[in-house]
Amino acid sequence: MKDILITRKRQITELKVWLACLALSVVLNIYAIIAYEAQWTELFTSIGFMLTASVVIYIILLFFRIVWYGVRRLCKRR
Amino acid sequence: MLYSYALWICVMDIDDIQNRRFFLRNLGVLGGGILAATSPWLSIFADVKDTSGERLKLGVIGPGSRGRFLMKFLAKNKKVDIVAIADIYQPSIDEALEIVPTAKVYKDYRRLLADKNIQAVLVATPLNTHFQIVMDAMDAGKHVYCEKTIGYDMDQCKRMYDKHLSTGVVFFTGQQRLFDPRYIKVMQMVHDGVFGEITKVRAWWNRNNDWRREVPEPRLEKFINWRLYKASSKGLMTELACHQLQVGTWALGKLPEKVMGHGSINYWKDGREVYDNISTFYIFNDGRKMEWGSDIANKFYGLEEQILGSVGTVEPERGKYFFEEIAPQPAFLQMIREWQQDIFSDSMFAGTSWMAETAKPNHGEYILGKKPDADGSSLLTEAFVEAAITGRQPAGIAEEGYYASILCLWGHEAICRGEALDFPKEYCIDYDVYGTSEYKTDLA
Repeated sequence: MKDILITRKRQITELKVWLACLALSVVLNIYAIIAYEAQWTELFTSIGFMLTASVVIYIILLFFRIVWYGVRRLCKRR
Repeated sequence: MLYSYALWICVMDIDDIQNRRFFLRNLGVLGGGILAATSPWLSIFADVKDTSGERLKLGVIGPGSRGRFLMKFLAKNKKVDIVAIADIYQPSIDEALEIVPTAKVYKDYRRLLADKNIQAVLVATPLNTHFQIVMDAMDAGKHVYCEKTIGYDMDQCKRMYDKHLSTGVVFFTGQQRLFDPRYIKVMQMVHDGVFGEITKVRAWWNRNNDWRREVPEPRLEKFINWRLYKASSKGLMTELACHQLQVGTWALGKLPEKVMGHGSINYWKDGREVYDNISTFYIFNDGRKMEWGSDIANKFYGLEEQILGSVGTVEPERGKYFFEEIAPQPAFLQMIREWQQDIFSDSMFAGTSWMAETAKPNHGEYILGKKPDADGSSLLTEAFVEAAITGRQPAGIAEEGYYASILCLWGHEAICRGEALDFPKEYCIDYDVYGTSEYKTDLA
């Protein structure tokens, strides 16, 4: 079995992508708080939901990124 | 206040009799006197007379299943000597002697009543026999605890109550909810207006069994399964409704003015004479209603009383209350669910207003801060013992039992006659809690 090496650069990139997902979740939560006239304390009390949402968005994004890289690699080979 | 109360209840051992007394006293203290208005009979536990060194000589008439259930509490009470039992069914006698091996056994209850040592009796015989036994017991000067329903008809109930007044003996009925801490607490809250205006009371008692006891020989059928025959019982109304109707009047603080109902034998067509399902409506003079029903061919909804208020709902059997307004789901979840609805559902009705009402389940709160683990039977028997020793009748206890019985029998009459019946004012007694003293005065 081959060792999989995740480079430092890749780790930083993935961390940035996830942080972008988290930021998106926070923005969505702010939108929801305004739209549903909820209390601003939900910015903190819903942190668990935001973290979960950020992971879900990250996974969805990862799927599309893998597909994108796959297609691109295929095109390059041709 | 409620929070500190809940904390306090968590750390106390409610199974201990002394703690129960302590508990009730503290309920009174917490209630700031309101408890005295909603549950005046609890004053028995505040009696200043020290009865710790005294022992009540008690006789049990009818130590059948219910009788023995109560005997187990009484046998543990250090202030009670169960000195005699009376029954005509040997298996019941044998089982009762396992609880009180030294008790004297009588086949005729009148011989038990003739025993001058006996100060009080517990009557747990079939319904049709209560009247004569209780009347004889009161004439003999015995304090009486009689299982509900107290009389076979309203006239018997009235005569029993009048006899209690004329003889001055203590008279308790088997309404254990009156001493159940969760009912006491929640009634205090109801009367404090915590649940808003009480608009309706709904109660039901469902089972899925034939309600029969095993009969060793066919000739004993009507004797053992007395609950199923008209000559000895009025079935579900007298055996089950009595407890729950009393809860309704306790919550609403008044008596209904009209009743209607229907009963039939739909499922258990096994020769029984009493209904296997019943629905009744009790209507109050302000239009509020109390519904009571029973079905013994389906137990899915079991047993419950629901006290419905404009602000909240109480389900005392579950030991819980629920407020109408609960915190909505976090906005983030509402948004996600709305998106889900938009993507996966083509129905037009889905929207924020709908989601806000149904998204979050209402689990309610426990009345006593924890799941109920007992009813009021232990406290009820303890209260009876205290009252019989001191000779002091607690306020309202006989009256609550009397009216509970009247409501059952009146409802049963409405069912049998197939009519809406007005409250029979000739059976009103002086009882200020339900304002029936005025009825009584009007009649006079």
